[in-house]
Amino acid sequence: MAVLLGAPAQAYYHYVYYQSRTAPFTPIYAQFNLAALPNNTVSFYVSDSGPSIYYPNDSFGSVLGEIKQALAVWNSVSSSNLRVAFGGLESQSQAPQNTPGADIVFDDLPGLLGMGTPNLPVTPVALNGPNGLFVPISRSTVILTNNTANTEGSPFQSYLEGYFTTVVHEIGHALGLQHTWTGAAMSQDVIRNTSRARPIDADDLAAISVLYGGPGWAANFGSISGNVTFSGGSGVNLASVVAISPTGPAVSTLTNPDGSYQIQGVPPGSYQLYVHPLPPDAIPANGSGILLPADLTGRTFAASGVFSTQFFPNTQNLQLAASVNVIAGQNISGPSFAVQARSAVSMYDMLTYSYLGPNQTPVTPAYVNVSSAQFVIAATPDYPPAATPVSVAVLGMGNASAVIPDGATAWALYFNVPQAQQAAGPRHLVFTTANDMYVLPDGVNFTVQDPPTIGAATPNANGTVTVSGNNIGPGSSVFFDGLLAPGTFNGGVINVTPPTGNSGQVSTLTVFNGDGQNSMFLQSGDPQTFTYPAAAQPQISSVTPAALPAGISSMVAIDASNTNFVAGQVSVGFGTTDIQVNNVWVVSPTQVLANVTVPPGAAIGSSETSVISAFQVMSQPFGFQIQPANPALPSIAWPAINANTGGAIYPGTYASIFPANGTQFPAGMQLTLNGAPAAIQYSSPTQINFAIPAGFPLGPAILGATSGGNIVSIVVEVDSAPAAGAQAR
Amino acid sequence: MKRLFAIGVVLTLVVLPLQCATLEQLSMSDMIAKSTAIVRAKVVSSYAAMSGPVVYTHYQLQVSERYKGAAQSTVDLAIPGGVANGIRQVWGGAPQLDNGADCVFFLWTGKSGLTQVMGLSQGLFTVAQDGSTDPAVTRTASHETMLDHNTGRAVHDQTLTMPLSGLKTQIAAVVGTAAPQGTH
Repeated sequence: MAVLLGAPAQAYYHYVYYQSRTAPFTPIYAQFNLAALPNNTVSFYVSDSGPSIYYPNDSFGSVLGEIKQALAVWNSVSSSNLRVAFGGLESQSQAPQNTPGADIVFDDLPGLLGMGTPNLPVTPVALNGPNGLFVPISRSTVILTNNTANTEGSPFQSYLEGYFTTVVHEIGHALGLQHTWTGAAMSQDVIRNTSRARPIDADDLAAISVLYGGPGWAANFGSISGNVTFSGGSGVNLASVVAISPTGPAVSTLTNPDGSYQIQGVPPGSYQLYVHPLPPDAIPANGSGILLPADLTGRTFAASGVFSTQFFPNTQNLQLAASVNVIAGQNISGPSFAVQARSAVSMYDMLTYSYLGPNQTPVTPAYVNVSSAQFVIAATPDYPPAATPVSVAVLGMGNASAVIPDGATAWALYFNVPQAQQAAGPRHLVFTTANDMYVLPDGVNFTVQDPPTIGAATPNANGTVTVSGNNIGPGSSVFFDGLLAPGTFNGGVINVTPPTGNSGQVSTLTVFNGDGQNSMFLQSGDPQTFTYPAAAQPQISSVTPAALPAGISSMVAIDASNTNFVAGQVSVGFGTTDIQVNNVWVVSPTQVLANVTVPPGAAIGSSETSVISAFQVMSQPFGFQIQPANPALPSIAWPAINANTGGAIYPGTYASIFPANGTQFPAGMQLTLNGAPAAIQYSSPTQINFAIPAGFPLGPAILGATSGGNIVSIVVEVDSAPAAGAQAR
Repeated sequence: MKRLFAIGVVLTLVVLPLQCATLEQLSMSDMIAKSTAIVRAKVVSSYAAMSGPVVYTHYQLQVSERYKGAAQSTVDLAIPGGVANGIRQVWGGAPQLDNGADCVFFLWTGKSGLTQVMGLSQGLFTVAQDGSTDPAVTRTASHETMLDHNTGRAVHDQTLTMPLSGLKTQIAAVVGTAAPQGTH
């Protein structure tokens, strides 16, 4: 990125080090070392103890479902080379692990709902990586409450959207992100405006990509660089500079100690720029705030003093704010700010509320149906504000027609929405005071319909459930507790298949719409539920093999009883980052196959086998063992590939396998495919090609490699042949 | 005007909506009732150690007054974060204490056996060192997202300052006896 754009990388909201205390300041980020991760994947392992107290009808399966979805959110960032996976359950007393990873544990401390952090080295040593110098994170930890009933206060049920967004946030910390102030998943405090429909925002995408961006990731984004100085000329450290698009995202960064900044990962488009000081609660005196940037000796760089918020170019008049046009692959160099020091931040951490439904139910951040062309919301910082807004604007739309105080700390804001502005999506609010301003990115959400409500959830004879209600459409999804129920929208209702549940389990249903609204907005007091029928207790019957030596890949077959495994709903784990699960195949309602890799440097010892099938949680503590390496065993790199194309394997082609870990195949190694001898087309110590016969059944097939009485099996996926046109390409 | 009135009523009575949180805001009565001990104590030393994957800094507290819980002259207080086994963990929302710090601690000893501060930092009141016979005690507002105890909705924490005597009176009112004086 730096070379590509000819501009230095600058500080973001990460865990930041600098090599020296003088300019130029090139940030060194704490991050996972991709080279030390199997398949660039950091796996999160959840303590098998789970929460010890659940809200009525809540369950470990639901908690795990939310965790898996939160991990999938970070895994889905295509511009990042980091993959994020659910590793299954782990026992706190099992063998140590040598591969970097992350742990999720539960704590019963009253008042604690969740937190996350990376393990940082005591004495940071910078390593060279593809995106520059970095300080490696050895492992990370997330702590969640072990009491979803929260008997000390209000419950924190895992099916609530807030549980999910909190887990997303804490996992972000574990991956190397600190707070931001743009409404994104990593936003501090109550200004966060994410949902199941939009769990991470452009700011989060930029943040994770700066750490783990793949080759050329920045080519699809632009960047903006400049300086923030006090009017006297000294640089401002830890000022937040934000690029904000009126109807699009906000992407921000924090300045370096000399006031320089570069906002990376900005989607192409037109933006305005503003700079604001960190709120006073960002870096409290007791050390509980963000971790300040430091040099490699650990000496920190303190934040500069407070200053007035302003737009570029140095104005508090929105009409005079300039726009910059961000172009993919290019850096805009120059937008700089000269700011005026002031004694205190006049306004921060503003909350907005709308009042929805017949009972005027309060919702924050505010959602407003703009199809009526008018709306009113309330805003309150819930602390004695140092200033009062003179005017409040929706960025790009105009000022509120009225700003009416409601007591000393709240205001009712009335807006008219021009027809051209009546599109759904988050909008940004700008509060202007007598001599300062405050911007609240994503302060209000425009919608074109009211929140969904569930009128009925009717079980059908075939096991599906028909969900009906208001404002439900093809973009709606139905969740049973924390798990998505796959289904289809037809005739104004959604027919869904409930995720596999436990005997007599009662699940709470929620409908989520693509505009961020969900049925809990109006129905949290009396949500729809679904009761699962009585059934026998699911359990693992066998794990074959139950031990593997370090340094090989192998198939593991897991048989279970009283289960209903469904592809896409089953996770398999072996309790340690030293066993990587490459893929899982459901071959029957009671059997799954997994391809796993045990690296040569794996720690020897026992770990926990777990299978999570929707709500069903099965495990065998200390059920799997890593044994010392056995050089006599063939070590096959996963996956097998098409010998001609390097891609998918299909009937009538040849497949190639290669030895793993720099080893060689033993001479005379024989192959079988689903138990039948495989025709070998080509064989060398470093590659074997074998035939996939025409008409071979599609799906997972077991490839056996035999040498000197030693047998290792892996699963190969046999796909259907591509269409003729695709082949031609 | 009618709509504005409705909003005003809601703002006044309902507090703040929607969950999205790290901490839950604990009321004073919650902390008094749910804490396993409440003491005034000074930090005399500290060390860090791992418990599972979490680094805790253990602060050795010399108790000068006990307001709730069993008599004890010292307390081993564990707060997430610190340096142990060659790694450093920094948990947002977890306070750091200096040796000599004089505080009122609302303590929780959970199933893990660790004694922690209620609500991470919510049960930590710093005692002003001004020589007063009734010094002020202050709890710094947490910057972490918090949920309101009763409504489950997002709220801001606020810095809380009061005379030590006032805090002791509140504790006594919930515990049900006059606040005991002295360590033992």
